[in-house]
Amino acid sequence: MSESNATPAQLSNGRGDQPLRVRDAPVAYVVSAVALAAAFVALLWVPSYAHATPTLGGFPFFYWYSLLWLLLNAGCQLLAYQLLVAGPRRRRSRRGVT
Amino acid sequence: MNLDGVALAVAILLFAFVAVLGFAAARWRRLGELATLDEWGLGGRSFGGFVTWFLLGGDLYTAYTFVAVPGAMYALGAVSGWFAVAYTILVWPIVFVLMPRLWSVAHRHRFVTPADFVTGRFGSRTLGLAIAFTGILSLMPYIALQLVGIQSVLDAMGVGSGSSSFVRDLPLIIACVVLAAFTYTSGLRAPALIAFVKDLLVYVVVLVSVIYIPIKLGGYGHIFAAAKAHGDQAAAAAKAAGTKPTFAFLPSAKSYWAYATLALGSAMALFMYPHSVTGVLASKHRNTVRRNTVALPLYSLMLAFVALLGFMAIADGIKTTNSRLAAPLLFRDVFPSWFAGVAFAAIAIGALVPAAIMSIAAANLFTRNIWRDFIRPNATPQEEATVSKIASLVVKFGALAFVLGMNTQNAINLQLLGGIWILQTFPSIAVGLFTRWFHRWALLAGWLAGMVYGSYEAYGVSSPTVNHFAGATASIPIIGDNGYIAVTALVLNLLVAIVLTLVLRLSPATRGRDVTAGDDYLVDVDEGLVPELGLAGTAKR
Repeated sequence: MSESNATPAQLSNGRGDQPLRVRDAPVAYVVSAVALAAAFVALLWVPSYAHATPTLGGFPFFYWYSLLWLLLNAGCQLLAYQLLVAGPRRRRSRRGVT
Repeated sequence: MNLDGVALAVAILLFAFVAVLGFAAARWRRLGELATLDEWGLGGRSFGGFVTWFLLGGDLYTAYTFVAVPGAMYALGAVSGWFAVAYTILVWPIVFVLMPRLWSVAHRHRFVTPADFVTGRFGSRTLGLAIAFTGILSLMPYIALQLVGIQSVLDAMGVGSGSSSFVRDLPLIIACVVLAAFTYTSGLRAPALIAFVKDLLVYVVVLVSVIYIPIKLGGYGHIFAAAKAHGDQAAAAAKAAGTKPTFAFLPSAKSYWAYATLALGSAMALFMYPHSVTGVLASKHRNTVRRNTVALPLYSLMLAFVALLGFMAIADGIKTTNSRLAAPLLFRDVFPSWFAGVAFAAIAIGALVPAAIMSIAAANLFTRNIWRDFIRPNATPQEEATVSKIASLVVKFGALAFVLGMNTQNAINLQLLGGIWILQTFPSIAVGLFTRWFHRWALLAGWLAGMVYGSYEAYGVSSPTVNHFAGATASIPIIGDNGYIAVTALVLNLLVAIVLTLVLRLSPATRGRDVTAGDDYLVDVDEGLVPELGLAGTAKR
């Protein structure tokens, strides 16, 4: 629709090989998408965990399972961040490109 | 309730310290003139990962967490209370996907508000106006919730009980004036700086609560058993009286939809709120926010344990018909006076920070998208900042009206009501970040349909004690079970927008001009700004 000041080539100069689009790193994007979607499936599928048992440390299943997904989701986000941002940045600096 | 002098003294001392800090913040990390909107309203866009973490966490950790969620757990149980845990987990993946794009495009085009983005993206000031209006409207009950939080603390300390309503409301008015004054002078820097103190207090109080109280009450197993027994009792009583049970220890088959839609709708709504966007745009780099989402679930974990304070209040035998007092009364019952004072200060200050951020965000919306776009297109940056400061005062009065005009016992409804409205901006903002497929007029019509339907449904929800706005769930058409009205309204909104877009595409001339380009959604801080193309009255920058 409108004009951009920076061409894609200019943009990629600035950030080395950071994958900004799906086509730059399809595998990383697909894995990240699945990781980020997992918590939605788990937590919105309420009948799968609206039970009292088994309990853990006094917590009914419903309650500790929610907390478990809190941790799992944080891990998934870490994975996605590594795949899409931190990993490529590390590789770039290892190659000595700034 | 009798007055707790020690707790009150400790709370007032901490509150006064924070107020002084708020005024001092005007001088903190200041580079440019405070008299511009970028400085006053976005802290100069200079916040790194650490400050951003506190600021975004501050958006989540509000009176909502300490008063509304435990209150809902205490009075209603798992469905209306614990859904907040699922909600605050699911919000972070959404932030991870959406917010870097919004940051980039806002950075490139110097957008301050979500409505700026929509105006630029769809070439429609009218759509921008709708987004701005919705933002301001939905922030008012959310700010009101913060005031209710402060009020609950005062009630629990026994301040002004039994005296005239003016004396009872006086401390709240004083707190409101302090809040208004330091926001006016320091802008976003005030809540950003206070957020440190607030979080320190909150962490201490939460850690002590979740360890000390369960030990005192005989462990989590006992707490859950007491909540379950309470639920069984309430169900038996409801059956005997021929009414529907209100307390749920676990979601039942009838409430799966309610639980899931409350969690999903709230998660989708949180970062459509202008104050959340403010926190994102004030960060220094594109990926500051994304990196933060890995650590931000720590706030969600805290929220989960704070939610359980509601069950702890049940186990402790706290009896109140005013559920928003559940957590404060529990604190007063189990803690020594001086620590109860610290806890009360944490809640009050925890309400102050988000209330300040929210009123700044609402003020920015008014200035940029109503004042500048429609009333004074040639306003100077100094004028914009002045108008914002005044608007931030007006918004607080609007919030006060919600406190006085609505039943605030189920405080969580205030936040859910705001969510119904703000979620209707999702197609324009969130979907707009990825595609311009929707026609601007279709988005406007969908928004209107969602707003009208959502407000009408929420107005119709009654309870034995309240006639209107008593809850945020209503029967979902076709499915039949109850669900969060915000989500039902969003589905209607999207359906209208899709159908009308297909029709309006027949007339391509009406599509409007997009000032953003594909790469604008991907740039980082070192890649330059675009002069504000096409937005009225901004060529001067």
